[in-house]
Amino acid sequence: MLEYIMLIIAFVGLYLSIIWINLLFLGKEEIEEKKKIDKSYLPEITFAIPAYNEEKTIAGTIQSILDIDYPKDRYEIIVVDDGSTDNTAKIAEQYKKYGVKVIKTKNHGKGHALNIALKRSKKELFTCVDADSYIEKESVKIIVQNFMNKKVSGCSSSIFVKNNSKIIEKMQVFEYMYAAIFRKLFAFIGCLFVTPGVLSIYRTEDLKEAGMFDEDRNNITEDLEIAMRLQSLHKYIAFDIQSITYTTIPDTLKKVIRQRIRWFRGYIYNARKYRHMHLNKDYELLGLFILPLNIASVIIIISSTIIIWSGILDGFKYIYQKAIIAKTPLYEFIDILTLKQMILTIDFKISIPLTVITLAGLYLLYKSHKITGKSIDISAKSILAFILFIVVYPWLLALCWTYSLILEAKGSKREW
Amino acid sequence: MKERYVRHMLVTSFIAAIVIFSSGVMIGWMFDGLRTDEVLNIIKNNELNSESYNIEQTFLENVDNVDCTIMTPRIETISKELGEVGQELQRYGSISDFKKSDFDYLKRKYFLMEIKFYNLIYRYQETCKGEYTPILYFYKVDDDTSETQGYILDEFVRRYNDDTENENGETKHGKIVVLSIDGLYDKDPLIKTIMSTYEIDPEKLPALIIDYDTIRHGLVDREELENIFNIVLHK
Repeated sequence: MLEYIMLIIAFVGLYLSIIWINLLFLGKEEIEEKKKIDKSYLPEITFAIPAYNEEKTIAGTIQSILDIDYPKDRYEIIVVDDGSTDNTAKIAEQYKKYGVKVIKTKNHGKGHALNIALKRSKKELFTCVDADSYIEKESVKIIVQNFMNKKVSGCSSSIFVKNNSKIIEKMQVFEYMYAAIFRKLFAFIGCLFVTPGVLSIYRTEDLKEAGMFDEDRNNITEDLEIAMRLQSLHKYIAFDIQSITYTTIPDTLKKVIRQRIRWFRGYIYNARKYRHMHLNKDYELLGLFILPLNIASVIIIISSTIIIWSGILDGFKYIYQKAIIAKTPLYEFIDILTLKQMILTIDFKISIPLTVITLAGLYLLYKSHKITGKSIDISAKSILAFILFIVVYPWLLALCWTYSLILEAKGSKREW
Repeated sequence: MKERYVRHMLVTSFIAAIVIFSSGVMIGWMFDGLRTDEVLNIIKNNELNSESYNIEQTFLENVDNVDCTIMTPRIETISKELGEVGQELQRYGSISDFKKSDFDYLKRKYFLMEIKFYNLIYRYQETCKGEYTPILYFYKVDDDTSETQGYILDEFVRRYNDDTENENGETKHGKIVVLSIDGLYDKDPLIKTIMSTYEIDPEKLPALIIDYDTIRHGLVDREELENIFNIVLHK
């Protein structure tokens, strides 16, 4: 049974790897093209920063927006303090002299905070910026170019990691690099269904038409919800891989797990909310392929982790039986094989797909670095983080997925 | 327009995935042939060596010149080859997809060779007593206790056989040969016959037959094996 599951996983993994590489070549010009900036296109923008207890980062976020290369009279900054109990509002108010508007509300959640800013906005574009994001100087100028295409309702930027000194942070860097290239590929086929809160720009009119951000506090991923809603209304969401925003990521394992569980529970919630889109031919590739694929990916990641762990447990059992019970010395453990025996022991039906998947994975990572212009970190710490990212991270994600599914099935309260 | 391209790409990717996946399966099929050939070659060699040994022993008996110094190395070679067959069958049999029936045939052949060797040692012991002590080990496939017993036997035999001489270079004791047989293998009646002769209960596997007459059911640990062999040595 396990062998058949492994074969199915190997085939699906192989198929997806070929798809991504194929897409990369098919959309080479559009994906890799360095955008020419039309300096005359300068739409007016509202930057909304919803903040709840962000006293450590809010100043940096506001300052990064004030520093962007964009005419000052073409944008406004609205900080919505969502009932913070720390000095967030006080710090934000120090920027009033630079034209920053600060609105204080009771704590009603991020969606509500964003809507307060959205209702006030009279600008053509509405930008959601998390209070721990730092926009690169050129990013806004680059990203707004996407809105020259009238079909575009929303667009997100690539996310780079601001704090990446610890191993756990460096591991997430790889995750963000993969996210950048995959989002670009999804956007290329019109199937991007998330607009991360780190930096996403929307056409204000389209957001209002779509009914604004979801204020339901059960929805803990309003950025996923709004993107799904726009997609459900057949709006196009773009992704600008060359526009860069930095974000502060969790720096401990506990915080990483907590964040992933929030994301995954948010995904489950929204997948259920927009279940009518799955396998629905009205949504073409998104409905027939990408959304079901996402669900399949969760099943694959959990089942492959179970298979790998059952193998590891077998290994421990072997060591226990051989070392503890049979008292075999360690040097007798290794079965020294001749080259011929080694070759004859290879299971080609699994190892060939696995090799293709690995090569495709490495190529995508390389491409993500190349297109975003991020240099490849080859320090020992980064290499170790990459090994851990390949070996340990999928298990961590599988664990978070399993736990999220259990919490959702039990109907546990969703928390930010 | 792009939609059409992408649909086309999905189909071509699917075809490419099938081609690559099939190539892995095809290479696997080719290698299955090589694996069975590899095991078969050792088996053929072992058969020839057994045959040759048999003829040699008969000849020496006929001329009344049985010499243990000639016979012992021959037995050692056959024993070593049998061990290799067992290892290769275990190594390759589990990953074989297309030659399951061939591996099943080889497995049956291997068991028969082991029993043939068991008989051979019996005859050999009449003239060269104490040189080789056989253990017939009946195991159950995918059974934790049988696996553990296998590891205990491996380690016990390795130590025992490495320690055949004392400090003065004199022979302390002979060597042990383990012949492992799937106790639930139902394709050859011979195995059932042996098991019923020694009154081995298939429900209580693993089981050991040490030196033709000491029978043990269930897990036998190293200390117990040492005790049994102390008795065997003083017989």
